[in-house]
Amino acid sequence: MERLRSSGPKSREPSSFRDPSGFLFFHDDLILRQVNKGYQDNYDHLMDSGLYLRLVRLGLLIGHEEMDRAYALSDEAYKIIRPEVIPFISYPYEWSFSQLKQAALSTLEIQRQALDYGMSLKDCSAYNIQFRNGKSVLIDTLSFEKLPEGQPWVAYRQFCQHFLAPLALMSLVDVRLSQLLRGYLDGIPLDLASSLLPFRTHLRFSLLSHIHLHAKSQSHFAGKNVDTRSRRMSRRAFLGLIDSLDSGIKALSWKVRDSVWSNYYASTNYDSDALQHKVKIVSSILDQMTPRPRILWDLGANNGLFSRLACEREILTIAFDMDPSCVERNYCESVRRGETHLLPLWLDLTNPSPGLGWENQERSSLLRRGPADAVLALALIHHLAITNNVPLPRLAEFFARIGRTLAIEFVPKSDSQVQRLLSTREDIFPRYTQENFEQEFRHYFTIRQVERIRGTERTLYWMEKLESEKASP
Amino acid sequence: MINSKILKRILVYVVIFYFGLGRPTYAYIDPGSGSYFLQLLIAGLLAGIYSLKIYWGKIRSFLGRILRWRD
Repeated sequence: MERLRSSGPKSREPSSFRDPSGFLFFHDDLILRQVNKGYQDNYDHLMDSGLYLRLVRLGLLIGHEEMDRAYALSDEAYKIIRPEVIPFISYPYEWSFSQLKQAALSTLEIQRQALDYGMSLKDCSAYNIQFRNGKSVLIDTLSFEKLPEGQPWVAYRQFCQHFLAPLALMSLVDVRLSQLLRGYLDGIPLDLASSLLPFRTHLRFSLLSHIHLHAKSQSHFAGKNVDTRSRRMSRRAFLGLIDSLDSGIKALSWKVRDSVWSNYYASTNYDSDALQHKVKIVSSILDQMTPRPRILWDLGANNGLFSRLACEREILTIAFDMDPSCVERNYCESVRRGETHLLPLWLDLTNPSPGLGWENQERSSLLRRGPADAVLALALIHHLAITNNVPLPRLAEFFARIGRTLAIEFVPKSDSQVQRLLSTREDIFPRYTQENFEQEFRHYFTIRQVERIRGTERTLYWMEKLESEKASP
Repeated sequence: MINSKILKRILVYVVIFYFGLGRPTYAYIDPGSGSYFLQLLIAGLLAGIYSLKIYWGKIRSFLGRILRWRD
């Protein structure tokens, strides 16, 4: 992945600076984590108690190997570890409801396991969870601390803001409220969540206590200190807290509603013959790609029909779509099938995830997480060019930026879908023609294959970036 | 209703007085004093509910065995 370039082959990961226990950094192509001396006790306990092994075996924590201390970036280093790499980083504001719910339940399961070994999570950021092989996993090995006996859970606030509040809002108000996470990087403020949730949620114990009362308590004690020396929170109360959060999360659900997009392939220009033909063409293109792509982005993946052609070939496929129902369905289906190479994500291509956080670098923009080895842009271009007025030259430039090889479907004006798009507006697209499409894309790509989809007006292209273009990002 | 309002007030002041002056926590993230307070406040309730859940599970399986034996 692209990263901030700084002098020398070593540079710190821009988002990893808050935790004094250690930080992530790059050494040439390696991603390493420095474990600082201050964390020595906790790290040793994590490794020696058996918690590390247990969590890795359960698939809840990424594994790591210990490296030579010579890699250390500073004198504070106790150990240097090389964690398992996550090939594509995604963020909670890109996840569907069930993905966030799964991340929440995994976090609580990790906390429960940790308690058995005398440890506890000291933070509960949703950004510490990533999806690997179709499952949610904790990537911050330094999140654990020896359980301070009797003390309340230090990560409780963060858990409520990162997980419970957004899930409650998505489930009970509107699924699109997950986008609040883009604006509030430390989770949704509880007073905001409290004011947005319907009044009847006061009758649900988990939401009453962990959101509403929690919000009131926060505002009452803002700026004050609470001395925890004298009061104790028993182990049973701690377990009760985890259990309460767990049942609260499990009780939240979101029913996928039919949307304009969810019946796309049934209701539009593809009769079964045309669809079969398109599947055949895309399959053959995928089989011809050498070397085999490691990561493929399927833009506008819809029900994941074509994404699955890629992930069944063991290509890590990111299935992007801007319809929350589609992403949710795709994810639930991938869980049902036990797919390991598919990651459905929410994305509005006309307004993709920006760089966020300190210096706009803590959370990478979509483009910085690319380029992909391969991109599928099927049944997409007319939505960008016609609905969103993006000119063909800009589209060509964009696609050249995000992937090295591209399978793209040109949808001409004669297509009934485009006719529908143009029916309520003036046709201001004189340059949207197949000839211009080929001309603009030829500035960046070599066209390897062109095939008309039987029974439709559409043409499928396979293109590879020109050698001269490959050097540029 | 006025009574419960006063009671709530008293409870809050008692708790604040009881805790006295605070000492900063050493976690690198801010746990929030309000979050700590709430946990301690409902700790008893949470422990009770959790205990009930466990014992209810035990009672159910115990009753199940008894009923099967009787049959």
